[in-house]
Amino acid sequence: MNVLRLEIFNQRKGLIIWSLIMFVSVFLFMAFFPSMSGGNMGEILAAETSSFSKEMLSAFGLDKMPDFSKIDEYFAYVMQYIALAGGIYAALRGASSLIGEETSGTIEYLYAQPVRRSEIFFQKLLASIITFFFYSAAVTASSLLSIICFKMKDTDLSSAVSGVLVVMLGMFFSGLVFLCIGFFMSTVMKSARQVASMANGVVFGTYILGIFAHAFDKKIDGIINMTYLSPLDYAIPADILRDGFQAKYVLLGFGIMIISIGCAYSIYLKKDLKS
Amino acid sequence: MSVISINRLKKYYGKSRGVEQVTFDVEEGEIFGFIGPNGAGKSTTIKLLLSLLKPDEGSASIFGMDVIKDSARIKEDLGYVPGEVRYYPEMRVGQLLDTTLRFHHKNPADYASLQKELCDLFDIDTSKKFDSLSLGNKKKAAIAQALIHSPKLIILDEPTNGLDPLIQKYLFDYLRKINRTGTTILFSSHNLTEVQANCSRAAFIKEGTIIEMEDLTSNAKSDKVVVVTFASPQPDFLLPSSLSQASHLRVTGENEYTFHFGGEPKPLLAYLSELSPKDFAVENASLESRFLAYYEGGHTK
Repeated sequence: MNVLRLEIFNQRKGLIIWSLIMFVSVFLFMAFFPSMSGGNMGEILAAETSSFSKEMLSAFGLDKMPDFSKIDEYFAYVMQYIALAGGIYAALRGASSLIGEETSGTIEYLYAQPVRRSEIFFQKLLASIITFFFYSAAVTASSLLSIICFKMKDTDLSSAVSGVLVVMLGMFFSGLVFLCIGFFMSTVMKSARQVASMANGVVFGTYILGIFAHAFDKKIDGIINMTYLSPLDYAIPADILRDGFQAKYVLLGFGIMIISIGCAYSIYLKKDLKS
Repeated sequence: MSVISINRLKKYYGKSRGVEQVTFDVEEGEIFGFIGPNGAGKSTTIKLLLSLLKPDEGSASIFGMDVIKDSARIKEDLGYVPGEVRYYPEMRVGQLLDTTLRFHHKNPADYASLQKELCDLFDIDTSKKFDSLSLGNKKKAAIAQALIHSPKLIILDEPTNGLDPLIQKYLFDYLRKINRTGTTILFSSHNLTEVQANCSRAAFIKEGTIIEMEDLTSNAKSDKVVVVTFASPQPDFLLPSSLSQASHLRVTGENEYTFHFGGEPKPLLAYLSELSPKDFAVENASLESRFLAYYEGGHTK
């Protein structure tokens, strides 16, 4: 597992920076909860958004107005934006994994060692998943810490903790979908310099598709449920907290992962490794 | 027995030519030079051997194994120094050497003495990170990582680029030392003196095609360079058919012609006396003179 070890060694700095930033961000977001839960924030928000159209409210996940006096609902609302950042990190990790070695020229060292291309491929994939897992663990730790710090006296802690874990599982799942799409893109991109624009393009592009889907009641001309094209919609925090995971989205997510990895593997075994 | 066997390799990058037709063998225990100008296809050939690139046509084998199918098994016994060393910037040289050994299923502790020998020889600081190293020090670290696992075959792509003369000498001393114990060495170079001094054979590549193989052992050094200067222009000067072993005629100065000759001296001397030149010189052909003959001005064999 030398490739795995090498890959984690090379990614550790990025992992630490992303994890620290998101750890602090989640904690700061959650630090607003006491002030949001007190007073009449829900009523103020409802009054402020009353002039918005139904489509607009739906697009920003405000159609089912969260109860900000409940920490789990406030947490789920915050996490839809944290999940967006998680998607970008996962897509970046996947997309830079293979092409990064070619652009930096390090593939000339790596592939001069007695390793098969399949070993490079799968160990790099595993390293990306492990790295994203540690990132998710940092976000989960920050979430749990902030729930403990900012919960109300009457909050059921065990229920809130299980809510956090379910939401995090959802974020990890949608992140894995982006990671696998990124991994596929890593085999077709010409240079690692395209990674950031590609990762942002995929995540924001599909996110905007999801917004349109909600704004137009998920259907355009009744042809396709546009939320299928938005991995972030496979695990919307408020929805999975309320209704759990939907089988169709889980299956679709795994389907995209398998197809992305299968195509990437097929391309990577045949392609020239340029440096 | 051939350690490397290359058969009609062809590689294009889209429409631009990498190599057109490369065929040669490197025998076991040989130090083999691979010579050609920039863009001739030396690095492409080496990358095809490492299976970094896939050939459009042709095949190659190392240790009798196919370079594509058996790439990982071949590399168990192969050390490689790239032309441009670009390793992991955050990695320390010591970590790189240990990582290389682990890739080869070898315990770094068992190779501590060899690591010390190489680092002392090439003056390598193992505590330095790659991104803090100069071009020459990167090259030295790359050489050490190629040698650290005692491979049976070493491929070096322009190994002396960036090295000072003293380290160049140490490198070739070391390569000759391990060559005497059976290690086969293939290296590409622009430095013809080092190829002539160290190699038993060399291949010349031009525009992606091997144009000549040279035997550089002492018994093959009978090839002469003949320089003939006339008092007046000789626009129709050609090598006569009686000098069957004369070749590579080219114009090298005002009324001056140079050609190679590899036969008995008697017919050459008779021909020179017929010509009545203003001046002439006959000297042993150096690799440099052959290189110029192959590549200069289109006057090739």
